[in-house]
Amino acid sequence: MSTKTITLTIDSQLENSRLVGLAIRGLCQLLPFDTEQTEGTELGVVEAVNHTITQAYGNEAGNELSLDFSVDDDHLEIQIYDTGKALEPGRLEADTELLPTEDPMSWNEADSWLAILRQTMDRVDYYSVGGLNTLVLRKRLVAS
Amino acid sequence: MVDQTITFTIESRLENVALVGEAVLGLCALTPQLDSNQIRMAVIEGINNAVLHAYHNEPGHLVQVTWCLNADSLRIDITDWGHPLGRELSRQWPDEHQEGGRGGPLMWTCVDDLRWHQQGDTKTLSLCKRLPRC
Amino acid sequence: MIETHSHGDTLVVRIHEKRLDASISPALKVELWDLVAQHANRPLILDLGEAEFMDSSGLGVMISLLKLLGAEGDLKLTGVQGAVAQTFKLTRMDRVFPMYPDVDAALA
Repeated sequence: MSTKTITLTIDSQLENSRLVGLAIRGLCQLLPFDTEQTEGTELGVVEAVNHTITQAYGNEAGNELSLDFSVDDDHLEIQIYDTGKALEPGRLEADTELLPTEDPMSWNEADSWLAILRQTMDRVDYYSVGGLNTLVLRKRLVAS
Repeated sequence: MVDQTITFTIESRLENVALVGEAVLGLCALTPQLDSNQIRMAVIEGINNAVLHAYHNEPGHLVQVTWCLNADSLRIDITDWGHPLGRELSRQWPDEHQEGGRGGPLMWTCVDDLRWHQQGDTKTLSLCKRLPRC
Repeated sequence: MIETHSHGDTLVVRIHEKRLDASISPALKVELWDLVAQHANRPLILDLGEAEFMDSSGLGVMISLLKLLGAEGDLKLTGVQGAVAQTFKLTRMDRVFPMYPDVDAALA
């Protein structure tokens, strides 16, 4: 099976993040995902898109955010592109343990997006080249 | 209500059409008052039209679908840069023995308005569905 | 966005949103905080039965309420299901919030 790809493009407004989420939920119906995997994929992508809008683009409208949803026999790969402020080097590799439940009072929403991504995706990568930032999320379609 | 817009872009391969169909179906959660299957069907027929007739089923070209929701209507634009074929989509159902020619009337059944416009090389089919008022 | 009613001393708040996400979380937080300010010290039940999705910003609103109410506060959640339940579970916040299937169970 050759890779099938659809590109989603929105303006950098948080209201548009739900459009991406709903579209992803629809796209996951084409995959051999159970309900939990679909919900996890939608959540992970929405978290990533929200982060891009608020951090890469400083919650400023008028910027383009695009996302490639690519599927082959074995994997789903989602690449989220922006031309805003890049993540600090090493950010992705930083320890992002979820908030210990003994102390919800120190919940930090700013860190939660990455922790949620790690829980919902099999692999998360990031690179920034020539002003184009790319967040790559991968999920296996079949149990390895 | 501010317009909400998202754009989908695929390569001109028929196997990619379902991706747009399912993405649009997912968005139908925002328009529960409309028939989601009809909307998906109209979009799929429109994209098939672009792939098969505008691009002669040749891969390597782009089809762009822009979904836009406002307070009054849902509009879905299907854009290609392909062959400027005769773009009138017939409302008439073909003779029952005819194999093809049902895409146009099927689309007309599913939407309230269908319009073609062309600007330079850019050809756009606009599908419009009015939102029922409460 | 929200609808409230009282059951004895308890304030029951039903959230009329399908998606508790970043686009509505700021406004939802303001409404809920105003409510808590008006009804200080009352036990609070948040009914999330209509919600089909919640991201970390929506969860952040819930946590902000928890912080606002403090150690003496009484906050219960009801109707948490599907994708919303998954967000609580993924973030281990399902161990922090008392959850009940519906309002009647929370009131019992």
